[in-house]
Amino acid sequence: MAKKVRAYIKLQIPAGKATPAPPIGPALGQHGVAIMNFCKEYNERTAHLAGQIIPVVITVYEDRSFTFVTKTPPAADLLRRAAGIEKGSGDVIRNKVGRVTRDQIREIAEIKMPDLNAVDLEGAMKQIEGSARSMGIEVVD
Amino acid sequence: MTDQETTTGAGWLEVTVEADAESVEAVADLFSRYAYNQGVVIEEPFVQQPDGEDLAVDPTRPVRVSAYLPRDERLSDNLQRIAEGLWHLRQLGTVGEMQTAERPEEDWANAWKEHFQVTRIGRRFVIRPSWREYTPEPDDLVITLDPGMAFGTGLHPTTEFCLRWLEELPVEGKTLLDAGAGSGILSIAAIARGAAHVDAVEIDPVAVKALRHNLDLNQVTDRVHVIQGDVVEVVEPSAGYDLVLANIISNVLIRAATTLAGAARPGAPLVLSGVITQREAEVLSAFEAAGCTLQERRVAGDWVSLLMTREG
Repeated sequence: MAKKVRAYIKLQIPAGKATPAPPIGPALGQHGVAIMNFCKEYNERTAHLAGQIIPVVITVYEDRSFTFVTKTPPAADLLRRAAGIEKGSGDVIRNKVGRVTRDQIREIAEIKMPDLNAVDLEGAMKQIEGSARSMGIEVVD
Repeated sequence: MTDQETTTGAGWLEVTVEADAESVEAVADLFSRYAYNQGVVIEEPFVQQPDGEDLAVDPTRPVRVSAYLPRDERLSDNLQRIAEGLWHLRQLGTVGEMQTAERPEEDWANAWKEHFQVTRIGRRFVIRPSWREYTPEPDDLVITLDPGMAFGTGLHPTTEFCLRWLEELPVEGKTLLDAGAGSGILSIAAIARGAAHVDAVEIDPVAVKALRHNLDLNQVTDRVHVIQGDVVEVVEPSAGYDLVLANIISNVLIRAATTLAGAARPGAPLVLSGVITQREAEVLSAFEAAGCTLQERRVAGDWVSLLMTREG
């Protein structure tokens, strides 16, 4: 017997640093989740990953109970690290802010594979390359 | 105008756009640059059966991406940059118009509390959130709780199981172990039922704080001894408890089986909760190996609670 799901929310937040401030407070508070309860559990599970963005998918049930699973860091985060840049480009077409190699794309695709809906690594690499382009990061051989 | 807004305090602007699945990552990345604490909310539309089965993401509808910007002097600059960034992303994928909404802090800071009402569990236990009024009936055992910081609001099946066992098992005058005490709800309930003494073990310092706070609220600090630490390390192996309550999670239960079984006096009951049905067999065999016998099992949804006794 499964419980009816009230909300299904993904938050991209820094590991180990969850607080009741936005975005967590408004995103979860409106669904009746005990916010501190979530923050505490998230911080516990992600403390060892401090410094990274660790997305978390929260399932809130009708009775306000909830479960969550943490995911791999966003591709954008991994791409920025690989390219050694702080942020993506504001003008992604004309202004390239960095570059990554195809090997780096492969590494990121391997990390992200469990969370992508790609059938194989090739497909995953295509998605990561797409993300790179949309951030103004060039992919080189 | 900005001054006025600053003085009224607590201003947040919620920025939202709808985007196709391919653009979500880039939109989220753009938002995270300007959002408070880099935080981004992504809501994928989902479909499910009426009973909640077969939850699946619905790829035919757009994904909502939101972020919160503090109302400070950089707000208009930040909005401008986000708008420019979105314009560029529209050249590559489907990204909707930016929508904004005011989000005063009081909207959420206390909103969740609305969902925690005075709750009756079993025949006599009444859980009263500390911010609510309740006039007890003659036979009620009221537990005042501030659930904010720790697991155990009585609303979760694993906690409810334990409360029901506490109502049915002989507790009066007994000495109990509450392993994984969390908010302290079970320790307080045990004292309300007339237990002589409870040792409440909790590993998490944040929960310990909440636990002490709740013991205080219920004026039972003199009969509940708080022990901070890992059950396996701090529980006295031959303490001879009359009843052992362990509402933890399967992994910890399995690891602590020998300790918990040993801490119960021969013939004493152990209540194991926090177990999901998939792990039940493992938990059961760990405790059987530690010299316990299953008396009864109760199931609610995915959760199972086991009543065992230590063999004499």
